[in-house]
Amino acid sequence: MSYIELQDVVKRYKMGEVTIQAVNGVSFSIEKGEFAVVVGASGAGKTTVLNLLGGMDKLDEGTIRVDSETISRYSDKMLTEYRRYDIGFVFQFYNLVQNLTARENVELAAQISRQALDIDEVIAQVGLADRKGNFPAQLSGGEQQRVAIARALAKRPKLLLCDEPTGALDDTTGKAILKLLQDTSRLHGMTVIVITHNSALTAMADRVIRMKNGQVQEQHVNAQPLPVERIEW
Amino acid sequence: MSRRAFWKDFWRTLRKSATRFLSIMAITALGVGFYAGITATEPDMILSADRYYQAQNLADFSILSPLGFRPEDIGQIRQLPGIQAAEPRYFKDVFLTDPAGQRLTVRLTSHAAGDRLNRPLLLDGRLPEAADEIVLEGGGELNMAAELPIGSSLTASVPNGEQLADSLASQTFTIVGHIQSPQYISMERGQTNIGDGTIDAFGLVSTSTFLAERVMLVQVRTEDSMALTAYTEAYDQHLDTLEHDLLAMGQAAVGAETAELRAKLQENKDKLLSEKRQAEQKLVAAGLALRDAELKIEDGERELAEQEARFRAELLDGKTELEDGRKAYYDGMLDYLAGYDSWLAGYLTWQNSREKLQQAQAELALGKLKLEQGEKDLASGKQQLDAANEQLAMLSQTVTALKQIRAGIPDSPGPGLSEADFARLLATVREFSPELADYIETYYDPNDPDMLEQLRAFLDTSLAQLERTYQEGLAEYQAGLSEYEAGKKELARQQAAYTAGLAEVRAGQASLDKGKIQIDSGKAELDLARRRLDQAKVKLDAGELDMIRGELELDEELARGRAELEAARQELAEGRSEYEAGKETALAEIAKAEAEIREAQRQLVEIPQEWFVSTREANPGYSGFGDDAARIGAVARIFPVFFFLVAALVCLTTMTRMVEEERTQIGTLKALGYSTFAISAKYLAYALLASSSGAVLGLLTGFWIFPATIMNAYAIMYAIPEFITPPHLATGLLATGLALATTLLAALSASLSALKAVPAVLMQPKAPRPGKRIILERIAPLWKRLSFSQKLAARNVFRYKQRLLMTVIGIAGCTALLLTGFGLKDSINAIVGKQFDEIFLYDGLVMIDTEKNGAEAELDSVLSGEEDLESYLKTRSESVAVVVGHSSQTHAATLLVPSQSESFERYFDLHERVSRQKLSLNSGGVIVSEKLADLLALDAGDTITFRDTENRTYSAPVSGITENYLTHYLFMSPQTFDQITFRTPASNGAVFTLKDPDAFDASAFQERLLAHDTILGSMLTLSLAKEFAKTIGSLDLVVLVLIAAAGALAFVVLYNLISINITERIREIATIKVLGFRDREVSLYVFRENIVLTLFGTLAGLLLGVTLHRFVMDTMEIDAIMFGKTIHWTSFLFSLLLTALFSVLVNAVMHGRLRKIKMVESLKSAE
Repeated sequence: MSYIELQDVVKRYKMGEVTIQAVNGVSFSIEKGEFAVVVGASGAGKTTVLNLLGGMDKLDEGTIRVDSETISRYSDKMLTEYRRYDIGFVFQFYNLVQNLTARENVELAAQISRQALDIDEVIAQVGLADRKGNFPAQLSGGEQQRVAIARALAKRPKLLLCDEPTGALDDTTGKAILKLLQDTSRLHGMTVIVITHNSALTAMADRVIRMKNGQVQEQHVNAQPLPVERIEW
Repeated sequence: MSRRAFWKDFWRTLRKSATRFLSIMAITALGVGFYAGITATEPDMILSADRYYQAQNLADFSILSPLGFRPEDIGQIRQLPGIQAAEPRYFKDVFLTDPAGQRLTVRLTSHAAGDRLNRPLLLDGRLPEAADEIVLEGGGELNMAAELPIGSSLTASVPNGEQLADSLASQTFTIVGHIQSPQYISMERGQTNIGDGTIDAFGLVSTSTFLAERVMLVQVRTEDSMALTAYTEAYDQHLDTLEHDLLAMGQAAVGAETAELRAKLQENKDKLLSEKRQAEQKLVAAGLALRDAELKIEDGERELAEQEARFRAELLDGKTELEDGRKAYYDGMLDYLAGYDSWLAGYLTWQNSREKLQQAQAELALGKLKLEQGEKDLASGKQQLDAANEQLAMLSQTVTALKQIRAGIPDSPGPGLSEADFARLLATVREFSPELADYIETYYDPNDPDMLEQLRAFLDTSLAQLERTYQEGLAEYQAGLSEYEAGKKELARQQAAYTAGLAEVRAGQASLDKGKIQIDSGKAELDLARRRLDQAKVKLDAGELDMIRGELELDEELARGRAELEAARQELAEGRSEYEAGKETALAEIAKAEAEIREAQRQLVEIPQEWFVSTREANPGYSGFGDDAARIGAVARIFPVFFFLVAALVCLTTMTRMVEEERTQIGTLKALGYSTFAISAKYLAYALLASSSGAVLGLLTGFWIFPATIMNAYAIMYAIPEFITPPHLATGLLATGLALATTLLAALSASLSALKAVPAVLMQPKAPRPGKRIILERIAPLWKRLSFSQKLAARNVFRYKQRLLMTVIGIAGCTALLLTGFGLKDSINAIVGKQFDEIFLYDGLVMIDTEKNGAEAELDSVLSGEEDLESYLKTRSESVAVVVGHSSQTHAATLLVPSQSESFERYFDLHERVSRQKLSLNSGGVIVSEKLADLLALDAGDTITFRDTENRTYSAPVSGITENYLTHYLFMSPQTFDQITFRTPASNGAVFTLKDPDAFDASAFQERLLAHDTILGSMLTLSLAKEFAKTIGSLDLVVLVLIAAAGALAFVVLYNLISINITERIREIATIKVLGFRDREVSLYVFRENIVLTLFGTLAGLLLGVTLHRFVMDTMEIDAIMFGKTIHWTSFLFSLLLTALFSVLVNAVMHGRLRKIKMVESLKSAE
């Protein structure tokens, strides 16, 4: 039994009269501590999968197990607890609270967590020790994404889910962020799942899941993942 | 932009956001309608009333002459400039009894066919024509008379002591119709002097019914009033000059007519006064004369007694003196006798002494002789002695010479002596002793040689012989000398003794002579004393005689004086009894004169001085309606503002949201090159259409629905046949303009602020407002102490300042409305307790029918027989009209006079409200209730003027102002009443206290009382209080309305603001949901700042509420009631709690909305 297991997951959306199968029988598994990349074109259903996996949405069919817990059967309340304690999210547009400083944004997550990491340590870890007193509007995109990562890590989640974390960043900054994520996985044994449309990133993943039209096209374990620095796109 | 595309987009947007459009329209309609409607109510009320007044030709002045008008008076009135009509009226207050036996107090007013003023509104039937026809007021709930159908017969009666036939031509009346009158639009029918003092209904009878010679009332209409609207300032002002003229005319007319009466009364009074004064003077003079006589007798008595005493003292003195004289005489006699004795002894002694002296003189003469002998003896002895002494001296010389001769004869035998020598010797011896010499010569021869020896021996022998002889002689001489010396001494002694004796004798002679003189003078003295004594004796005897005579005379005189006094006393007693008899009649005369004077004074005081000129304001219905309209007007100036504010707020936020939502489109349009105006025109047109259609809708309904509803409510209280609700252009334009301006401004500012950004930015979702540090963070110690969520809330509160302001204002308005509502109830509720528990201490009152004989006595016997009563106090209470200085306006008040002021304090606690100082009834003036004093601007020491129901006008000093809430009161002591009116206050009721109010059976008591037909009825304070509480129970509705309004306000404000908040921060909320915030935490995250703001708003609202409450109380206060200004602390609490409740409700609704936020969709928009 893998650490994360999705089995025949189906998610439908109703758009007026039409029902769209955003995720149509997706199954894959990820081991603990792996740096997994889900790759696919826009509309391939990867974000939906991530949302389902992160407890932000409920599936219509199939099962999702995380650390032997069948979260696909969770109620809304249980899902909230699941997000609260087990999941860290990193979004493309960071979604920082504008009215809170970098440190406070991290604190916002840390204060609801049972085993939160030291806030200042986490911020230092993402390399923002100097800028923690700034408001998001005063930070660059990369810095904001670091804050977002720190906010996700501070909760000490079981899973770190990243939805296009570099989507809004330039290459250099994007690489730095990816490196941070990879390092986090390597150094702390964190299970990291990154969603991207950029196939180039597959090279650095332990596991690659390729999606298309709401289905898993292919998944494989990368025996020799490359360090971020060596990837070009 | 092409017109077509613009309109297509516009209509499509409109259709798509129909709810939004409708909501703007509705809220505008509500705000505009409410504002316009409430604002229009006051003018509508006034217009409705004015229309009625104009239609019925309501008089502008109603003039009452206490004496009745002479035809020339009315002519004069008609001649005043500006008078359009002046019509005479008669009136009479009578009791009308219907066939069922019900008795009404009705004011009958005359009606003539041609009357144009105060035209009655005929409800049914026709107006009276014959003398026994009547129309009574009708119109439903207003009175009971309406129940009497046309054709009913009524019997008129008047109080005892009056003849109906004197004033009315008919005693029975047939109802021929029912009317309403613009003179009586409220339930108030006025006061009268018959029955219980209140008029139940009014009626019209034909002028021919009245027998009175003189017109009592004149109704006046001015020319200008036709063009002026009632209640307006212009209307009030145009009456001023005329009112003044009419008053002056009335004073002149009444003054001229009463001058003679007044003079006669005055003269009579003066005559009475002088008569009284004379009688008094006579009485006093008689009393004084009596007193004089009494004093004279007293003086006589005292004088007599004094005289007697004096004479007796004098007599006693005389006696004492006499006695003293006699004693002195006897003493003198004794002295004289003793003196005589001593004189005699002295005389004898003198005689003895004289004899002795004579003897001594004789002896002395003898002694003198002896002495002269002695002297002679002594002188001879001296001579002998001297001779002896010479012999002796010669002997001595012889001896010596012999010795020498012998010594010269030598001893040895020698030569003998020469002859010469012998011769010489012989010579020498011769010299000494011739005998010897002879003897020698003889016997001796010088030549004898032994001769010498012999001579020697002779010589020797001779010598020895001689010696001896000498010696002997010497001795003898010496003895003789000493004998002579002794004799001389003896003689001297004797001489001295003789001298002494002579002196003695001389002295004795002198003393004897002196003694003789003494004795002689003593004798003379004695003789004198004796003579005196004899004289004194004579005098003493005479004195004694005088004394006896004097005593006799005194007794006689005293007896005479006493007799005289006795006579005088008798005379006095007679005089006194005469005086007493005279005094009684004189006093009775004086008392009579006094009563007559008082009567004259009363008549003088009661002589009318002027006409009572009343404007419409004096009509309680007219003025009450005006006051109510003004009250609504005041409310209109404050409450709709809240609704308007809310409406504006809602429009603003809605428009802002709309623009926000269409950001992307705006950006696209802008990018496509549309002008700012073209883009914003859509939103302006949207807002314009929504708000203008709302405003029109609001005006259409508001101008009709609000005035109609409110006036409909007032229709219960006022008989105005038709209420009209015309549109008011100015108000409508103002309301619409305000509404349009608000929404347009909102739309403009929202779209313009959006259009300022460049298209690229616009096409992206609106960046959340960047975070900012707030001032609070600078205060490190405080900031550090706040929890993370508190910090967040604090930062969010100040993040959107606009929202902060709106929330605080909205919530403050909500709390203020609530507090006003609750405070309103508090203030009015407080009145009941204060009035009936703190000021009126009595438990109930009883009224009697003073027209029935023995009513007062029966009241006493009935009340003292009631066991439940603790005590009672008879009182006189009457309705008076208190005159507002220099105007025709009056305030109705109750004049209350207790039968005695001593126990008054047990039933009424009159005190000054602020200082709580007790006011005493016995301060010689009137105690005025506070509201009345306020209305008349009276202070202690001022003068208050009031008119009773008999139209007698009195003035009295104000001695105090007492706390009082319900209706107006004047309190005075019976003495003060007497002084002011020259009448004794006859009691017409009583107030009483109960032993145990809780166990009191009120209905049984009432029944017992009403069994006596002199007792009109009784009223318990408790039921009065309940009655009042019931009437103000309608306030609950007001409070409810205010609570609803407050709730609406709170809901609208909070809902709007939270919903904007959520919309704007939806990504943030979704994010924290993703982070795993539980629902409750999410809600708290959003609401915490609202809670803080609500708290601020509530506190501000409490302050605002106190002000608003005061304003509302001041506005709503009516003339007859003084409202308290208190707000109970629970009201503060309730307002606070209710505001909190509203806030919680809104939050609960919003909690649901927050739960429904989908994370995925909210976050997706970025993709």
